[in-house]
Amino acid sequence: MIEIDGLQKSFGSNRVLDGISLRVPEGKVVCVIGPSGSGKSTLLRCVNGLESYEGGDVRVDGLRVDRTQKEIRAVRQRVCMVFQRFNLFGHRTALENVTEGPIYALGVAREAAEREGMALLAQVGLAGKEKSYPAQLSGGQQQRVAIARALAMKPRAVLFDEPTSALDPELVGEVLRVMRDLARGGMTMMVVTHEIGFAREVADHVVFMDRGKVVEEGPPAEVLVAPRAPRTQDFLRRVLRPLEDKE
Amino acid sequence: MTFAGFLQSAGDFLPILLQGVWVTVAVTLCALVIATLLGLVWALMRTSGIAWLEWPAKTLVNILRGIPIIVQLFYIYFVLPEMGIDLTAFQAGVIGLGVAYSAYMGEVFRSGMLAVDPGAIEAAESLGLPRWRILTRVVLPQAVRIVLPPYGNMLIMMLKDSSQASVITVAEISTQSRLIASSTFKNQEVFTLAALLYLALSVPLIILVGRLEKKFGRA
Repeated sequence: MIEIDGLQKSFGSNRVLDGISLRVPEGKVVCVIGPSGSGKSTLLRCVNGLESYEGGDVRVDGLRVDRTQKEIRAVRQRVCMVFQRFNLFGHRTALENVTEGPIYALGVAREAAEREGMALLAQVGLAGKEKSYPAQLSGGQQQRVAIARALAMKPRAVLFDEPTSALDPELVGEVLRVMRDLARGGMTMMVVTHEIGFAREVADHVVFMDRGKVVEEGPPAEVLVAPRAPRTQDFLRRVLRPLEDKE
Repeated sequence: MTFAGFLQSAGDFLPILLQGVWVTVAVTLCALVIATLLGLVWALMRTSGIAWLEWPAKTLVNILRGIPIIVQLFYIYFVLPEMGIDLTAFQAGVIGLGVAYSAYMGEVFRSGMLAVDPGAIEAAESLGLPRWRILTRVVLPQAVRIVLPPYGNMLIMMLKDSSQASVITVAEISTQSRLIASSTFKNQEVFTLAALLYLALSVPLIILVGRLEKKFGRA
C-alpha cells in the first residue's frame, strides 16, 4: 500500500531522512517510534506530500508521491492525515469539518456527505456533537473529529502524526481506543507515536528510527520487548522507566 | 456665537450641507468598493507564491502608499485629461480615493490571510482540496474574521479622507462648508456644523468597529 525506498530529505544542511525504506502492507498497522528530531513526522508528511523530498521514492497504491504534480491530490485522497494538533477548521462545526473533504475534494452531494458524516461522528463516539465548534470540544473530542474527517475521504490508509501528544493524559485513552477499533476493522495505518503500549497491542510491525535512519524494525514482540540494537534498548528504557534513567 | 444664533445658522445652512453629506457618503461607499476589490487583488497576488505576480503588486502597493492622496487626486483630475481621459470631479474623486486606499486595504487583507491558522490550511491540503477551494473554504472565511475590525477602521479613515476630494471640486461636506463660509463669513457656525456632520457619520462606525473587535478579537 505504502512503499518507501531510500527516502532522503534535508532541511538546509541538516539531513533529516537518510535513506529510509519501509513498507506498509494493506490492512496492516505500522508504528514508527523514536526520539524527537529523528525524522518520524517528516517521514509521515512525505507520504502525504506535505513535504517534498530530494532522493528516493514514495509510492502510495502504486502512485508516486510528488507534491509538485497535479496527481498529488489523488494521492492525498487515498492517504489522509491526522495531526498532532488536530488542525481542525476552527470556523466550521464538527460535521462541517467532516464533510468538507467529501464535498469539495471528492464532489460528493452534500446530503450524502452529511449522512455519512453523522455516521462517522457516531462511530468515533461523538453523536450529538455535530453542531459543536472545535473550540467547544475537548482535545480528545477534537482529535476524534479529525479522525472522522480523515475517514470521510474513504482513504486506503490513514497516517497518524503523534495523535495523542497534544492531549491531556486522561484524554489519551479515548483517542487510542478509536484508533484500535479502526485497526481491528482492517484499516491500513501508519502511526508515529510515543505510546509504546498502543504500539505493543495494535501494531503489526514496529519501526524504530533515530537520526533519519531506521535502526531496527520487526514485530512489536521483538522490537518493543526484546530489542537488539543498543539505541533501541536505550530509548525504550528511557521511555518506559524514566525514573531509573542514569546519565 | 449664541446658541440661538447657531441654531438659526444651522437651519439656514443644513439643507446645503446635507447635500454635501450625500456626496461624502457616495464618494466613500463607491471608493470603498474599488478599494476592497483592488485590495483583494493585490493581496491575492502578493500571497500567490508566484514571483511575477508578487513583485508587481508589491511595487504598486508601495508606490500608492508613498504618494499623498491629494497628489493622486490632482493627477487623476488634471493630468489624465491631457492624455484624453476625461473624468467628472466625482468620478476622479472616487477613483483616486479608491485606488489610493486599495494599497492599504491590500496590506490589511494580506496580513489577515497570513494570520490564518497554517495547520488548518495544511489539513485542507492533506485532504486533497483543490487550491482555490482551500482559498475560498478555509483561508478567506477565517481571514474575514481577522480582517473585519481593521477593515472597519479603514472605512472610518476613508470617510474622513473623502474630504480631500474637495481639492478637485467634489461637492462634499468640506467643499460645501468652505463655500458657505466664504460667502457668509460665519466660519464658526459653518465649520462647527461640518465637524458635527462628520462626527454623526463616523461615531456610529467607530462604535460598530469597537463591537466587531470585541466579538472577533485578534487571535
